[in-house]
Amino acid sequence: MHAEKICDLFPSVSAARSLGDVARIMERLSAVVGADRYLLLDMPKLHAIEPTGIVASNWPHVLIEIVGLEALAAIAAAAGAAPLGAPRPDRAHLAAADLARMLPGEIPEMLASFDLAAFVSARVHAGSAAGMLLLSAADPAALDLAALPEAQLLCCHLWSRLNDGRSDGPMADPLSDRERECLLWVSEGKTTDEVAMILQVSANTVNRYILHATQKLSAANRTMAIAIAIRNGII
Amino acid sequence: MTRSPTRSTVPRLSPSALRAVRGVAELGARFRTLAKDLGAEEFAVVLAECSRRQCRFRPAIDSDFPKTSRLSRRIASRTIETGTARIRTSTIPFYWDKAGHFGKISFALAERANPLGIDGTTIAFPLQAEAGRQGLAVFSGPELALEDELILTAHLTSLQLFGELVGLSLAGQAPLISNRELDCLRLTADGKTSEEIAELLGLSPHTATQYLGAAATKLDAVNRTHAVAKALRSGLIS
Repeated sequence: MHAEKICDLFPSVSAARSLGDVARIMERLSAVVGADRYLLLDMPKLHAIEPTGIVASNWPHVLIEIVGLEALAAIAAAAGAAPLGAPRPDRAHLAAADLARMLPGEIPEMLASFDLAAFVSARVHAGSAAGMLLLSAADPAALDLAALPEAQLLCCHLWSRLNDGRSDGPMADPLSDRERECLLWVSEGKTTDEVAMILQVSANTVNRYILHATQKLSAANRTMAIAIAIRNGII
Repeated sequence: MTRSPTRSTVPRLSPSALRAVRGVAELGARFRTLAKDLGAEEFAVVLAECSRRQCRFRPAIDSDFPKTSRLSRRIASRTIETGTARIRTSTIPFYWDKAGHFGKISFALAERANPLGIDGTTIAFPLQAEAGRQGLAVFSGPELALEDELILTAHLTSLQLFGELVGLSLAGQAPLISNRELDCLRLTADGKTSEEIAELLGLSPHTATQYLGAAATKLDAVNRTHAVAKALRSGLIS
């Protein structure tokens, strides 16, 4: 059987428009690296395991349900998580034995029963959207990591095409101009009194603005409010 | 190659900063090689900085290193709306040509687009690195020669070099922040008080406060809130 190479996939990648197209190409992409199953997880914060959903996958649905998003993210985080553009890994896959140590009792057995014995993961991006590609095989020896960097980048292409036309929807800015201004100055190290002088209002007023901003951002205190605001591009 | 300056206009650099500068120069050389492989006359690597409303590009390194090239400055002068910015939703390279240079050829691994309104035949590779850093590697020149396999490898190489560049700049910014200090900063960003941090990390509140104070000093911040803001903005924590 003719084994497909990465370059054989180029035309299909550029023509991909629907989830169906993506699914078909992902199967071929997985095959190039010797994997049977793939799972593309949307994970906005790669460092903190908080997946928001599955973009594409050929895992049996029942398996995804039993294993659960959190465990999937944990597996993805532990299976190498190769950064985009990193050189070819020589190994860095997770084996069944490692899984048994990481996850609660029934999950490793469940995975084994579905012939998922080895895992390798790679970070993927579609613009600012971040996620993980989790590839698995029944036989660890079948995984061929030589083409992983290219497969990883093509996966980014596919995900980008799915995103076509969609804006990234950052957190809406709920703050008033004054509230935002106060947070900005405090984030630059100004004290309440200094901000009051800058904005020509009383210190009480500044504290009120900051309190409102903190409440609107659902933060525990002003420092956390500032962190949330910076992360969401509000200041 | 760059000529050494006849008089020193650069303030004395710390050893780690020196290492960072040499590292950047070396990365520039590798980008230059990549430019040659693409048949490009010049290159510019810029960092994308997107607020809620706008995306701006800050020059990182280009063909004129250590100076800033016209290409870099031209890209940096462009401001685009975050909502419609291509760089927010797509990692697919984009290219445009002057005077029909590429004729009717289209490429599978790059799209024809010129969101930055730059003159000349150019290809731009969207880049990502740690701490959510985004950027663009732009290669330009009248003899630009593209084809899909080359686009793929050039993109991978650019990503790798960009990752190293970002790593260098992150390291150069706060070279002495300890892991414990980072832990305290992260927890503070999540709204924890010294007492709560102390409990979570198994320290005394006094020690937690000390770690935060040390972090603030190293980041040249006036208090822990300022330190958290600086750490977030520089990508030290996310």
